[in-house]
Amino acid sequence: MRPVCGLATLLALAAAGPLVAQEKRDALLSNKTGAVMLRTTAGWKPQQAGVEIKPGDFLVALPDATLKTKGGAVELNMIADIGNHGSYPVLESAVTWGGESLYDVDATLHRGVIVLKAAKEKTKARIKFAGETWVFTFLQPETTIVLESYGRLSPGTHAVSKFMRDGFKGDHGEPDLELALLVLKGKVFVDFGAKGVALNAPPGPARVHWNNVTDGVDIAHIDKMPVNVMSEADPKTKEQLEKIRKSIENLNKGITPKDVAHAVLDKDAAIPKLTVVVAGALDNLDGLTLALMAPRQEVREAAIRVTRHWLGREDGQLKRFHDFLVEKKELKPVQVRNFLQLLVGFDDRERADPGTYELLIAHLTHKHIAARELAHWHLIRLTPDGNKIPFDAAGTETALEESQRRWRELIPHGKVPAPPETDLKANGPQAKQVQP
Amino acid sequence: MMRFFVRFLLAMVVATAAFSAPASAQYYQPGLPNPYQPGYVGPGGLYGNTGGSLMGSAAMANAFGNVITSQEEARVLREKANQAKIDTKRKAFDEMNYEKANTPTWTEQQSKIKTNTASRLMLQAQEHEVVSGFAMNYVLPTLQHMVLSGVSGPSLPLDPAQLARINVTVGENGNSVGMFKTGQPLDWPYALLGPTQKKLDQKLVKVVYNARQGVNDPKLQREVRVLNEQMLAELKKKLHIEEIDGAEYLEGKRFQERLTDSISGLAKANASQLLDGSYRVEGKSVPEVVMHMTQKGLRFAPATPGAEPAYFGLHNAMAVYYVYYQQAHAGNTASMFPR
Repeated sequence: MRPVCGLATLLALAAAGPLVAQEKRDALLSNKTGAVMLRTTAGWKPQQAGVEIKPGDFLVALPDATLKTKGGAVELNMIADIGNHGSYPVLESAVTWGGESLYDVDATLHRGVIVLKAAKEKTKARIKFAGETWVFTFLQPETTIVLESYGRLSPGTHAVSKFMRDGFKGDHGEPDLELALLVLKGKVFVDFGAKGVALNAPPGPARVHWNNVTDGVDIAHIDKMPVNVMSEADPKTKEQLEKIRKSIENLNKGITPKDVAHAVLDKDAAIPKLTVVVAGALDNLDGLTLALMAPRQEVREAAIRVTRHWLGREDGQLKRFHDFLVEKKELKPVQVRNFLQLLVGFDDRERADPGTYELLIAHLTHKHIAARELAHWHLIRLTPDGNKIPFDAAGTETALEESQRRWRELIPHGKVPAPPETDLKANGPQAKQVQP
Repeated sequence: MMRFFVRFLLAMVVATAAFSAPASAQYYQPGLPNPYQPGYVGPGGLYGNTGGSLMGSAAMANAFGNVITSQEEARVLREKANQAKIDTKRKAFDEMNYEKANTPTWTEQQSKIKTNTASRLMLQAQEHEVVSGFAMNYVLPTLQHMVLSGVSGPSLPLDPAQLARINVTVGENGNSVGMFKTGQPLDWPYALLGPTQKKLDQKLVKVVYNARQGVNDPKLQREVRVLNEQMLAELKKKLHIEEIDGAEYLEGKRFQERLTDSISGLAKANASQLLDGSYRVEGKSVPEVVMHMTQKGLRFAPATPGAEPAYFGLHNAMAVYYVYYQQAHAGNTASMFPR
């Protein structure tokens, strides 16, 4: 029996053809500005230009880094979209180097923006993200494409509450992920797995959009390059970027809560905001929670943005933050639930419920500064008219009560605010009529 | 008179000729021949003194004639202007008629808005629009119109058990008694539980019993309202002292609002009919439900917590019926709303 088995195995191997060992290649960190941090078991380790990146290495670029294989004709540029050129508010860029030798570039995009630039035609790159694998074959030299990934948790306090009560089981912990692809120059063939399509720079089929809700690929024809993509930053933004780069150069072992505590008091507005972004990018939850309670409003607002961004990165973040707040911050379960519900926000049904506005207005005098700031953060987004009501979550009790009184005047008991003018213009008068 | 006038004119012309110096006198020396005067012209000009006087008279007559002509021309012009005015008025009238004919009236505009809104509420309604009964109430007149126009629609049988879970009110702003319709104990949310809720629950049993018997006890009604308000105040306090989270507060608040509505409904004269099922959603199909609601003057009330699936089910059936009608009358959707 045994010889027969052995023969069958040999025959099967012969039919399958010669076995090719899948080689892995290192990448070279050829260029960087600011900081490139490598995640290790001992924490974050800064990487200098010229170092080799091994397969499996997880990198965060703050803000730019370029990876290239030795002799490879495609380079991968990681970008944090600080100048807001793309469609989404992307704060940092993170990839894991794959190094599969069949491709000039092989990486997994976790978040942020990457630009792939091919020096030669018929070169290949493989990019994985959110369980998808796309293979790019560049059809012209100098072909350049950009990929931008972004995620957010679906809003809904009830859903979040249920998810937590059910022991973090269910779909709510999985964020809604989006990926946008744009061809900036040249031609490329993209193999999405189930199908493939040739794309080229505008005019033509240049843009692809994917999300994990519909799990489909939408290909769009665009006539010309969106203005914001290729535009240069204005001098003020450039100056700010330069300052940010210089500050990040000084990072060595990531960022400590002490750094954050020190930075949030910095007179230069860019520094605290930047520190918050770095704290989020490098999973420093201590720093983030500290920033949520910062004395300055702009820092607290930045911390809300970064924390929401952090929660929406990938599956499991909500539980991680919950456990951190319970175990490290020793908050009561009800406080944690409240905090996470405020971070995630309100769904359509809740936005149409007058109770939501009463809840948020009640929270304006909450005993925790972060809850007060979060309540105001939602209120001014749901009711832009409220922007004229002065509010500082770090203000005196009297000032907070006065703001609360004015908010109650703006949104009386049992009412929901009128939709913004833009909604009325977009949807016609019926937008107002259907408010129950 | 005319003769005197002519004589006077002649005298004036002669006098003028005698006293006035020739215009050319200033350009040449007196006594010497005028270098610019043609040789055959005698003294007194081309026609002599007499001829010059006659020429002046003719010029006057000519001027007079011109005045008359000008007046006539002015009359013609005025007439033309009057005609033009009439023409302009007519054109303005025509333009107004054209604009009227081609501009939708306010009623037509409203009808179009209603049609678009109804379409959205049937095909893309949001959850809160369905469970509040808003979507179904909004399209009820449209569906009534469809049913009355003889459209039977696809045969989609409705589940009577699900229909029984749908709350109704009588009239436009009526209260529902949905919370007490089933006769089962209330399923209180966690956020409202407490001594006040317990007291209220006990009193509600009595109030509901009274309402079923058609008995109205104002004192008991008042006690119930006071306890209900006290429970709401306690709910707010629980949120403030972090005994409950935001989602629990909202759940409790929604329950309390439905309860308030149902308590008000119990005080109404028709409470017993709402409780015993005389007023309820009935019918084996969408057209039957629509006709029943129309005949009884009923409207959909917000869902009691837990009854949401019944609302989605009926809403879906209505949407299927609506789409069927639209397809059958493609291109004639603007006239769906009876004016």
